[in-house]
Amino acid sequence: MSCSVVMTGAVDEQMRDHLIRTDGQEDVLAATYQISTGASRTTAVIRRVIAPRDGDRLVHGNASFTSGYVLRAAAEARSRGEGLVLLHSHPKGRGWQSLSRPDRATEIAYGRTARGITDLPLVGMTLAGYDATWSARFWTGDNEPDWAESVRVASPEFRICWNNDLRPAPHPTASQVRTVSSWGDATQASIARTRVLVVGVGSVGLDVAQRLAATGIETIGVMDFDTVEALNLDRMIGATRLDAALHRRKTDVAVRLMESAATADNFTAVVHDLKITEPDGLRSALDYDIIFSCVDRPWPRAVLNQIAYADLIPVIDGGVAIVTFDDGRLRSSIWRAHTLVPGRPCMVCNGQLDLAQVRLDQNGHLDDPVYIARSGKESPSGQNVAALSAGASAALLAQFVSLLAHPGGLGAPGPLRFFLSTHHLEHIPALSGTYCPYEAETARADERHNLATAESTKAQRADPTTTPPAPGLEEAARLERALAEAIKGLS
Amino acid sequence: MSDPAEPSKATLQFMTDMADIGHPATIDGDRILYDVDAIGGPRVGQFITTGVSISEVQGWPLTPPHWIHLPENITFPGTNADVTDCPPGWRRHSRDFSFTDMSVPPALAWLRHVRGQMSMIIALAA
Repeated sequence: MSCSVVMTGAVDEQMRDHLIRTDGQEDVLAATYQISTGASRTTAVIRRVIAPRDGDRLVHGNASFTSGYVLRAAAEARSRGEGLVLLHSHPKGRGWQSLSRPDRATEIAYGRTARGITDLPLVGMTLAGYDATWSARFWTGDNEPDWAESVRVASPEFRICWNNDLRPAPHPTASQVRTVSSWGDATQASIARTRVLVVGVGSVGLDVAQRLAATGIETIGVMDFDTVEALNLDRMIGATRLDAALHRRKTDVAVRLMESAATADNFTAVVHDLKITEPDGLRSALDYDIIFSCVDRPWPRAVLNQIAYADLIPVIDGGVAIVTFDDGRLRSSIWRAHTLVPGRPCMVCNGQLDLAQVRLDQNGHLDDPVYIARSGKESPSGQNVAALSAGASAALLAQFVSLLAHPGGLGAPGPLRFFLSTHHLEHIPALSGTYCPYEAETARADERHNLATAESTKAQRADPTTTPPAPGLEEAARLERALAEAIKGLS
Repeated sequence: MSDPAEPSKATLQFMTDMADIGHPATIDGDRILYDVDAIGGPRVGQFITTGVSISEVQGWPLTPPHWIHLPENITFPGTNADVTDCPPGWRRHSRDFSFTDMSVPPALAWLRHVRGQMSMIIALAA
């Protein structure tokens, strides 16, 4: 199990403002955290800063906590069911910081106090003043701490501070020269290590996944429980007639195409044949740093909307809609793209998620033809065109680059909408609603409301590999495997 | 005789939120009931007891309920209705709406929807 720390941009700014002093001395600070439990990663989500009062700490070159401050902060954390974070600064430090002997002794001692009061590990953090890099460790006992692999700042200018010992920067490869020269070594080193999940690998998601792999990202997860059918082939670029004939899983097709496109030396594709609306799907998603939402159903989009704020994992969402006249001619097409992250409005506030539809989806009514007929609602049209869905995937990927590379010093923009008929790009002036229940869950992590309540799909799902292929297809599949092996041998 | 199950946090939150906007709610079996004043239609000016299934508020306030419970002598001109979670003499109705306005408290948005529906009812003889 790896561990990480995440905070909002507002908390990052508040803590940096306190810890970076104009007189150049060290300082200390306390905060609380809530746990976000993934399938293979535990994240401390920083909830609130507990500012020191007069006399709570000693600033004398090397700053120190008073026991009164630590006890007050620990008691406040316990009263909220949260854990304790103790932070200090290294004003001239740069990069991920190790622990000095005195700092280690301090954190061991206060680690016992924190565990005794809160029943949760102490999280120790250091801020390097030179480049604002955070480092973090979890004290579960008195010996060695469990070092975090990263500290993330979730804001429109998303930032990840990496522990190079646990997650070293990959060396750029010969096939990444053009990419690295576009944004530099440091940005490439960070983007390549970012764990990215693509939920839904249909027309848009499959394109996004391949381009992420080509960009050099080392770990990409794909989540989908569906299989390829003939009607998908006009939009799933790279999926073949053989994939459809064999009803291959979309995730298997995505892995094949990502491995073919990947430029990283150590590329790992992670398959999740799950729904994001089931508990296992949610836990798997919490292992990632950024998520692409390429699904159109209201319930999964609501869960992803929740993760973006409760667990501070930015979600890049969007898609394409086709509008036709009654006689079937094309009227227009609209793509939308938006990044869901504290500092930008959520999917409800930007008008892209109707919560009333979420309830219908949860009840199964959207799949019930009898209900739809009696309600007078229209079934989803499902119209889509490969030539236009590429616009949506490009828009989502542009949000990704803005979020991580901050071109021109700017991060992810607000919600965007493009109208094909007039070729008009609109910046939607959406703001967060005062009573938005999703943004009210910011940093609640495992204390979030439970939306991922779908039953596991594992038992319901037939394994396509166990279905005997139709006559003739077996030989085609064998030839395809032989070709793939031959290509691997070339590389 | 067994004690009824403790209401979930979501159930209590829904009841608290309804009370906060002046419509206190009570648990009745598998339902939560409350009164709303009809602002139009055949029962204008009267209070009508209505409610929701407890199972439908388990995502509250992240997801609103959908079905509106009403006595059998109140119905709509065209409606999708059934008797899930309803005692004899009651039916629940599926009424389409949109829940996207985050500038008002979720309970108030739900109440406005229900009150709007009450102006469209057909009151049958009791």
